Amino acid sequence: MFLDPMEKSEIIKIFMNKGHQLDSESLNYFLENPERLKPFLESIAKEEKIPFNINKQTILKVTEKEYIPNFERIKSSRYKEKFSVQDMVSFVNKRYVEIKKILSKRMDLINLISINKISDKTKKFSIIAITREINRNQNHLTVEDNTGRIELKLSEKTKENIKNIYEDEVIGLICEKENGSVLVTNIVFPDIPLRREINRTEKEINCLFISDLHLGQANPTLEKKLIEHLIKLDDKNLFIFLLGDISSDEELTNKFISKLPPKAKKLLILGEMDKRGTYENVEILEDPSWIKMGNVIIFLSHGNFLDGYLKETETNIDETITNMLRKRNFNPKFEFTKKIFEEDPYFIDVIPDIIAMGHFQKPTTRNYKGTTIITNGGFLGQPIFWNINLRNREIIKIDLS
Amino acid sequence: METIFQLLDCDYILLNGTPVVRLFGKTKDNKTVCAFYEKFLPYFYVQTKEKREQEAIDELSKKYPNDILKIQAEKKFLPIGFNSNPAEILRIVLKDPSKTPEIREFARNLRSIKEVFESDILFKYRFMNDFNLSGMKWIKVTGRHSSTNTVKVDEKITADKIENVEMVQNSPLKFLSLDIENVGEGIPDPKKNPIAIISLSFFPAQEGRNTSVLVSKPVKKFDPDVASFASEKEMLEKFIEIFEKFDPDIIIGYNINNFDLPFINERLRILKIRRTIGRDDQKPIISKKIVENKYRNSIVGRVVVDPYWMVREMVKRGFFVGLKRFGLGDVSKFLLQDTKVDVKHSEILKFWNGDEKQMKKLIEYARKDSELALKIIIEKGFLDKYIGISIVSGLLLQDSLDTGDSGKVENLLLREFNKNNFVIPSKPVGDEFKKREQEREKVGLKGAFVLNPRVGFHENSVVYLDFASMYAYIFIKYNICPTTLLLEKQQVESINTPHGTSFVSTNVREGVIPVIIKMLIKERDIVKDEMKKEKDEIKRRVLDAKQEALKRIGNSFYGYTGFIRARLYVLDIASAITSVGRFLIQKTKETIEKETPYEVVYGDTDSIMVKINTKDIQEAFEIGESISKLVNEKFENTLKLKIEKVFKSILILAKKRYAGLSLEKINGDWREEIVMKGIETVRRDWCDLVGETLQNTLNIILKEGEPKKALNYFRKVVTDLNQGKIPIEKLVITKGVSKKLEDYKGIQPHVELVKKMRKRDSSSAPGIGDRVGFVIVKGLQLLSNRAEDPDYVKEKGLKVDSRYYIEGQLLPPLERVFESMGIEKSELVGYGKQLALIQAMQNGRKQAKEQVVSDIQGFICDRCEHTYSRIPLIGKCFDCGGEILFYTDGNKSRFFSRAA
Repeated sequence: MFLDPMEKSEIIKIFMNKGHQLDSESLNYFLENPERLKPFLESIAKEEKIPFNINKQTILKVTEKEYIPNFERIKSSRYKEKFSVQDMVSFVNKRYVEIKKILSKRMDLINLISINKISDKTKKFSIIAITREINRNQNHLTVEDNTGRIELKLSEKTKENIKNIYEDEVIGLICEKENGSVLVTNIVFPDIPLRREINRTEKEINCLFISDLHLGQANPTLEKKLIEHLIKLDDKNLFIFLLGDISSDEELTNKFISKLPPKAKKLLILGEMDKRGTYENVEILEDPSWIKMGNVIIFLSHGNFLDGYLKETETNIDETITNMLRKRNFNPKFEFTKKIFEEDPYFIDVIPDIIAMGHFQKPTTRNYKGTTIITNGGFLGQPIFWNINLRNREIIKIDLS
Repeated sequence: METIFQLLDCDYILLNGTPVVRLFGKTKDNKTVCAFYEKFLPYFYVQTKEKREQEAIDELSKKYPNDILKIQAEKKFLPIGFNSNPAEILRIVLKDPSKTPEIREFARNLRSIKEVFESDILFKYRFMNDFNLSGMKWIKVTGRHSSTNTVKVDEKITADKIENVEMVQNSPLKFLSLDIENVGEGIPDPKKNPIAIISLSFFPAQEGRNTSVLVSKPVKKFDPDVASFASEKEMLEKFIEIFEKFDPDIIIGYNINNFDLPFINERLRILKIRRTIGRDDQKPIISKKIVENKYRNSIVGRVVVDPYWMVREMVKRGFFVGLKRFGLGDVSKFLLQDTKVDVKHSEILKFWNGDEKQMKKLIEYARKDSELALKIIIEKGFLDKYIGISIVSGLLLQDSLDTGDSGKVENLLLREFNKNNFVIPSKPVGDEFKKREQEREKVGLKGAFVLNPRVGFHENSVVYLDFASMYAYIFIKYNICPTTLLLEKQQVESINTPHGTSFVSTNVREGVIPVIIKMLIKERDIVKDEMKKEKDEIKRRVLDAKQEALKRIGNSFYGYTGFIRARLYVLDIASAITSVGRFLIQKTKETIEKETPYEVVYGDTDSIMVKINTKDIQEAFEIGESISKLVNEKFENTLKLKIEKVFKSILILAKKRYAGLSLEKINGDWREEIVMKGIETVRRDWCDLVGETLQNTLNIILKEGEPKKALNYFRKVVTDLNQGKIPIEKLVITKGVSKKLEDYKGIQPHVELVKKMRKRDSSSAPGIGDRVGFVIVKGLQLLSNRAEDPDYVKEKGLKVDSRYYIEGQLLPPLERVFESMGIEKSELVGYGKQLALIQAMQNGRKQAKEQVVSDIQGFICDRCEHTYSRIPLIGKCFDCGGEILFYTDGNKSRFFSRAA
């Protein structure tokens, strides 16, 4: 009954029956938000002193009390323990189709054709293909679409790009015929949109990202300093994300968690040195995890899955993450996962507002087309961590050095 | 004066800026006629926004003071949604039909105008529909003699009155079949290559001659009908002369639309010869390219008929089962038991430059081509179907031949809507499409109902029952039509569908579509009666095609309202229809399974298969009758479920795929026939052995009821193949060379073979346009490089690649058949001494394949062992199409598991 459009008189009647009188501002509030009516009446009944007059302030007071900040998981990292060749073909094809959809809308891919349609007559053309073999020394690239395979040579202009391309990613290629071979004159990544709305939460929420404490090995004063700092921030609106490598000793980790501010919500992603043990007073998240708080979408990971890419291309971590955003895939190369996911958690179909990772112990922040990218420091390197206020998207540096 | 003629063509010309409609036709006593009608003007309708009529009138008349002759208010019913009262709309009458698009666009963008109706109806059809004229129907024209010399006909009349006349026979139509030959290498290009020979065939005979062959260089007069000329130009001039003298109504040619006519047209243009070969003195022949390699030709007053497209269309619709290729030779052999003179395409040039004997043969070859095309049309009554469609749909014969189903449906709709004082929407453009697409995405359209089949061999009788014209019934019973659709609740008597959509009952208004459908059913019943009486097998098939065409037009209505480009697109109606269909089939299944001991083994759209556990066919038939009676009673005898067939045995492979031995009682005797759906026994890329083996296997299973025997038979074929006992001829696969070898992308077996043959002996190697037969021989190279000339194989005693023939040809279709009976692939090919090895390999391999690996080092093709570092996107080997497996430390497997 509460969700039906209501008459003013109906609302007034409900409040009258409960022994309240509404002022016009609060009447308008309930007319506009009829779904708030029932929870409000339930909450107000629990108040010690039940007010007679209901005004905007009463509403604010009650709703503030009701409000419990939370988050939801938007993707899972479940994968198949056993899979067939067919499963794998479907998995790769799904990726190809999804990215192709994005790329097909790009205006720069002129004369878009499929590989089997390339003939002697086609001079300048574009293809959307998945990369299969990359020869970084000779600047050669073998790509494939669902009609065929072709070997391409990178032009002088695009040579630089080869270090940013990995196997199994889907890209657009603008090509030209030259002396019998096909030359890539430009590479088009699916990328994320140039402009989009900056998502914020309605209420104040602080997300603190901590990782790589290596308790047991690192200087114990750092831990003390960190706890002291965090206690000051204690609030139910504080979320502490532990992004892995807290300690190889399960007990030390548990002890550390017990010292964290009591009202704050604590979440843990296990890094490669954390034991797969029992952790108390903390919620365990999968690695990687996609969560949503209000409208804000956050991608969280310990980050070690990027090691292979960093090694191959010798780029900075923030540069690498940005590259992956452009590819719309954090982890395209199959060898690095050998997993067939039910819904690929590395595939960037929705665009994250925040990307947070640990592992590298190189504190960085960066904004790429509206997405905030942060990586943590650590106790064995620079003890710098980040706190992001989701209401105003302000990034606060926590420097313990 | 008055004249009665059969309507062949209709067009208009402009005289002093206003249109004159011309009706071309033929009288009973073989006279050509052209009637002129000067009093008809183009028009369309607009609906204005409320109280803005005057504003619209002012804006239109201000912008087009000379082009708009009149704007008059009329009361017409709007097409979508039931309204008890007609709406006020404006009829915009124009002067020049060609101005319509411009004025329509202007009107569409006016703020005062809500919607534009009927603004894209071709002027000739506007006229024909207003006068209720149909292509190939007879009309009586009353008027005055006209002395114009713009048309080339026997009788010219300026019409005052035009009426329909009921007559069933055709006028004595004249048919001319033509075929041209070019000499030269490669695909003939009218810009470069001249026409060498024109062959003509006449029906009825022209001055005692059935044929005439014109040759563009001096040759000996081998036969009285051969005429030779000093040049192509002279030949073409003579051709025009003969053509006009004979004055054909119907012009026939095999692939004439895409080749002969556009070619002749272009040559005439280049040689500056008159191109007005129609019955108009000014309008030349028009060859319009519709899509790449597809032309539409129009010649005023005449009809162009291309049997090639007719045959293709019929094969596509499931007629002429067994016709594998569409070349004139193959088609003639199939339909007429007659064939082309044996000259290879690549030999034409040689013969043209050869000796007298060769030239004579080339002339015979050309003559035969035009004769065959004519014979297909005349002897087999191919045109009857299209004439029937013209009469029913109102289209001109040429359009009936050239347009698809929706064109026919729309013309019928326009006609009937107008008759009932409704307007019809214009075709959707721009935003309307987007809106429709979005709606479709949001709401979706559920298709017909297909029951999950009980896959396998059912050896006791299965009765196949179908609802006679279910969709027609649905339309009629629920009075489904955009004109009866209730868009909002109204206080009228209505009928509800399970989808929730309601229509007013027939007491309030009978829908236009139900009326059309009733008319089509009546027409179809007449054709079916004729079909029963017809003795000639081919003519019977043509009548069958005609009744099928009527059924198809009828059935097109049900899909039409869901067709995104339709004028009357109403998704609610489309959904309402399918919802009733699903409801009926579900209910039928429930009734049968609840009230009888029999099981429904399959159901699709409007039919259902019931398994009757008896071998006695008469008993099965009787039980089937009782089931249909039961169901019909359930539906209060408004819908008729009847026995379509009784299958003595049936093999169901999957949804829409089955083969059964059907029995039909003809004159008291049971006639057996194997009926197949979704299973091909003939495919162009199969060798004859495949079709033969599949046919025999099905025969053994269905007729003898012995799957085991079928298995043994199949194994014997495999053994024979392995032992080289199958004649090479049965293993030949044929493919045509359609372009220069250099233009082929990738490696194709037949192309590679032609290259090899050219190296061996370029004079005898196949050329462009020829079909190449090849067999796959054993060897280590890629499959495409192992195609060989059958004669060469015999001569050199090469061994055929039996593994390819088993795995690549026989198994794909046959594995499915056996699989449905629970027989695995390993059982199929595991037989005989030779095969023991294959069996061991297969089984060994199979076992290995089923093993699970715990690492993936790469991927490998199971057939050709090509390795890949990453899995091919197409899921199979790029080289040979073989299955891809995981590959790790020399092990191959279909599965990977972390835990393994």
